[in-house]
Amino acid sequence: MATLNLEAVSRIQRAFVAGLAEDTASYARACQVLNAQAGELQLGSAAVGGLANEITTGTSSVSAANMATKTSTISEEHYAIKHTVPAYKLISSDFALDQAGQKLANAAIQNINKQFYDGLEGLFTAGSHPAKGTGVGEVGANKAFIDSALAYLQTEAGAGNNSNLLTAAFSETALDSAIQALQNYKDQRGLPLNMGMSGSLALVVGPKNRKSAMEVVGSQLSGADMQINTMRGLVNEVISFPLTTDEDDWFLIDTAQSPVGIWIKTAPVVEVRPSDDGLFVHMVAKWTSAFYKKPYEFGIVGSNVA
Amino acid sequence: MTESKRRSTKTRAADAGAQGFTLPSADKLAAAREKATTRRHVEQQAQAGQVIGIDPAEFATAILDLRLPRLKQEYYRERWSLKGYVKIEGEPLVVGYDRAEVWVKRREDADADAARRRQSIEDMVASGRMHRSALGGRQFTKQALPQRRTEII
Repeated sequence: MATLNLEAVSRIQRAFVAGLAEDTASYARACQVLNAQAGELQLGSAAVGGLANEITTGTSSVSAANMATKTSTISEEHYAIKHTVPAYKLISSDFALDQAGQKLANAAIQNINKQFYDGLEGLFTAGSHPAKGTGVGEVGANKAFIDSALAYLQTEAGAGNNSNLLTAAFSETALDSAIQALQNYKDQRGLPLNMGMSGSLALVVGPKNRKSAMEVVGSQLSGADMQINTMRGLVNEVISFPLTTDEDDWFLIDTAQSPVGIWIKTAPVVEVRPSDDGLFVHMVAKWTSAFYKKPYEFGIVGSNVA
Repeated sequence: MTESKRRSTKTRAADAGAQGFTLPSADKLAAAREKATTRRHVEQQAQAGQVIGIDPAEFATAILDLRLPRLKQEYYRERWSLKGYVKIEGEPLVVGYDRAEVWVKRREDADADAARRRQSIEDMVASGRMHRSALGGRQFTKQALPQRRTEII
């Protein structure tokens, strides 16, 4: 006698929130995130200081040194991701409604992440330096934020150049070159900054260099001679992100200086709601964020083989 | 004058020979000093990662650390070859590197390629593959000072 197989006609539906981006806030490990509520963000830097004058018994006056200020103004940028679907379609796939919120929130945060790394990749572009120019307190005509021969004390006695541009394949030696560049860096008044010594360095690489970067920074020992790995105390973050223009580029950022970063005026908000006529469902993520560059480049070294 | 300073060069050379080694000649020492002075001067001006003897205004360089695994080395050679770089023969001195291979291309070609990279970024921003932050976003900079130096009384 035939029996009815109830299992054959029933249906179990399981939906998975798949395809979520991971490590979506990695930018926060490579920079200072600003959360100011304003229409514009102004970042000011002053070229002040320099080498001191000695005052002796014969000194009757001290010459004042030049100073300069730069203000970078960043306008707010509004972003949104929107889906609109007929309401009846959601009846047969109600999981879509459940997942929409989570996936939109994930996408919004990953957008901010990409905003940061895309911003980094643009720093090699000629003319991208906020303090480009040939005057006092400027770094040279048409300079990139990451460039060779970035001037300090321009037009003045003691003038010289910094370079935060390397053209080397990523390696332990190349990373050491980058740290040396940060240490040797001079401020706009020509004073050595000795950056990178406080253990606040973040190394940003593409996926191809992830393994090497983690080995170079994380290994107990260094090189064939098995010496202690001095990178461990200096570089405290290795961040890998799929870079868009050149996967071989890499960056070393002193997060204590944070010359670049992300400004989030309004954190991502996700809304799922029906249209006025009830025929459609709108799913919207919206936020306000911007990539910022400080007026001066102190605290970043990049490598790019053009 | 001490006893050791009174001893002639010939005597010192003889002593060295008796110990199983030969001191370099005065000419060789002078040449080494000359070379060291020149090299130190160049190195002090050069930063880590910089190639000695190549004018960056004339050539763009790409530096390969020969301590990298062989497969990685081949990867970069292939990549740089496709970017129009040519390997320098010999072993140029790169500050901070034990052994390095250096690839070069003419500065004007590198500048043209950098301009092409910018154009490709613009294209990717326009097509939605990159964020506008790659082009600097909505940012502008102004200078309120310089304040030229004045005497403090």
